[in-house]
Amino acid sequence: MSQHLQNFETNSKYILKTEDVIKTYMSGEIEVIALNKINISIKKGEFTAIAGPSGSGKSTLLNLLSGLDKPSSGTVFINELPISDMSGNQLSDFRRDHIGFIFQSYNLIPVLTVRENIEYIMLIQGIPEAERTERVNDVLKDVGLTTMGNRRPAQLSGGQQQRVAIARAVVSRPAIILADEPTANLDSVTANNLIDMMKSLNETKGITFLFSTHDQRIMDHSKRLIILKDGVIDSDK
Amino acid sequence: MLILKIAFRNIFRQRRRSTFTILTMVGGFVLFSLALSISEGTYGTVIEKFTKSYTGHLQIHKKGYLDKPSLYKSLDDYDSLSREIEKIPGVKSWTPRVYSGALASKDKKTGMVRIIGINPDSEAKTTSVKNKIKSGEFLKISSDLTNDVLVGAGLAETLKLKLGDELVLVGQGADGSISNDLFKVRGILKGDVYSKDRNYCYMDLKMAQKFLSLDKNFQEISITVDDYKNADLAAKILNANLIKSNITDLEVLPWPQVEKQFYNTMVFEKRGMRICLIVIVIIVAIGVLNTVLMTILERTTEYGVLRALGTRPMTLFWMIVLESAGLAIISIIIGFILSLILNYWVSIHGIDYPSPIDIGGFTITTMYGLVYVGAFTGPAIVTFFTALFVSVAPAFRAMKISPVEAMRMN
Ligand SMILES: Nc1ncnc2c1ncn2[C@@H]1O[C@H](COP(=O)(O)OP(=O)(O)OP(=O)(O)O)[C@@H](O)[C@H]1O
Ligand SMILES: [Mg+2]
Repeated sequence: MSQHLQNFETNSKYILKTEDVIKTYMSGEIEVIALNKINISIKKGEFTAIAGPSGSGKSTLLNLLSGLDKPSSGTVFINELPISDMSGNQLSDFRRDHIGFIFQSYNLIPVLTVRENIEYIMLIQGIPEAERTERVNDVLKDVGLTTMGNRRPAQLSGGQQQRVAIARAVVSRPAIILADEPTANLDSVTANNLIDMMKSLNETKGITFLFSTHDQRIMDHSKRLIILKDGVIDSDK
Repeated sequence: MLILKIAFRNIFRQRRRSTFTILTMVGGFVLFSLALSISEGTYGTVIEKFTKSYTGHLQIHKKGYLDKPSLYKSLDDYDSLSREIEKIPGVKSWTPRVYSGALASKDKKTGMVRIIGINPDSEAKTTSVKNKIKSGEFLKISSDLTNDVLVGAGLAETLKLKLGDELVLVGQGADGSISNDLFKVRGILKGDVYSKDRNYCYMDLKMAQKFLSLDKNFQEISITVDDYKNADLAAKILNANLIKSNITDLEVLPWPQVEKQFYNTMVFEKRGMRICLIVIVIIVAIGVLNTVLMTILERTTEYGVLRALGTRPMTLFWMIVLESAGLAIISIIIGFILSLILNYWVSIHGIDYPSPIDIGGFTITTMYGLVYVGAFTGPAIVTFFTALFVSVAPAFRAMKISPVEAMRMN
């Protein structure tokens, strides 16, 4: 990988930063401003929730921060480097190596077993088999699914699937894990367990989390809470 | 590689759809293979029949004889030519011939005839002239001169000839003299007044040489080899050998050049077959394209996830193409086994045409297959590359999917 990504771990005051980011969508003839001049930075080790009503721009922000989408204007910085300077393959590689994802609807690969789903990113990273196996075993233990390794996603409950998704996100040791409403499809007990698990990973392994949520209890758990309203930051504490 | 694993498992994931795709491809393969097999088999049969009936697989003449036949463009040293012919790999038999025109008459009736002097022994081994006799017998093998002749159906009709009848032939010898002689009908050929050999008059080579004052000369040697497909090669070898032996005034021509018109008919018929094959390929391609497209639409979210996780677009592209290639390989294996059985069966039992068809002057009632490598490699290559080709556009589409859009869809 290129130089800037190696520097990534060492000299970062922040992992992700946005500068006057605006994102607009065309909805027929009408221009929808999903995000309006957003300036935030996410530091290493943070455990941050983004909250706000439906349509306030939470998903849009997460997509811009991960490089999955490009802002209409303004700049997203990954470490010191603007995303707009990266090529398609560089962005792919960047996500693979530095960002973990947890999606609302789990989005595991249905044809792969739990183990293989977790292994996938390490495989495209080219990590040797022995190390892959070891890391998968460790992370399965962390999320409490040691016995489920050979099942297919369809054979798991929603909560279990989301735990696999967490395992998949942490196993490649990304700099940050982005999660868009990870608990929205889960009942409150399961959701609480999941948040506890993420928090403990944050505290014990120093993994940085940034997630969007509707859930008041999750907001209460987070160390930092950013509230979006109509595409602007309403509060950040 | 996990990419391969995903591609392969995706095949088994949608069993019904994969089965459908495989059936389409297998169906195409088998049809294609059978068509090739029958095409080669039928044309092979026609060509074998045709060349066997008279022409042989290759012929030796004096240079330019075929363009402008003449009694004087003759060969003389049969024995040394035979020694050269013997050296052709795969040669089976050969026979010398003499040609000339003559006038035939019986009572008050006359007609033009084509005298063909043949060696009854080697002719019977080389061609099927012997089987063309409707009544009477083939020429006797004897070292004596006999005045027996076999006459074409047309001639027999015009001169009202019966077996044992005598007829007078008047011709011109190589020395310029007018020759005439009395001949006796030993056999009458099959056919009617429209047959190519309607006015043929076969006689013993020695008799023809004497009648035409040709001495030991003759105009043609007809040769058969083990397979008509080797005719070109055999002709090249023999030509080269003749030149090596300092014989430069002769030419050896394979059957396509001797019988240009017949050969062109065959080429034309085969071309018709090719259109049929293209249609099969298109049907299969549409079937496969349909499945691949459906598959991709259905898995858009999944592809979006893979992209979001950091899969490079090209990797995704290959995953889809590989899935298609996997389906093709499975289909090729099944198709090969089925085709092998089917082609073999058709090569033994044949399939009857609803009504007899005419190819190059031959009436064919049953088509037989030919089991040959090309009937399998052709469809295999076409199936494989069609599957690849058809998957490229959808794979390209999938590669361009925006992960955000793809995941919004679910
Ligand atoms: N692809 C798109 N095309 C048009 N408009 C879009 C698109 N994506 C988002 N929007 C609009 O942008 C605004 C922000 O959407 P976004 O999905 O970020 O909100 P959200 O906070 O994640 O909402 P929710 O809590 O419902 O997930 C909304 O008004 C939405 O309609
Ligand atoms: Mg959202």
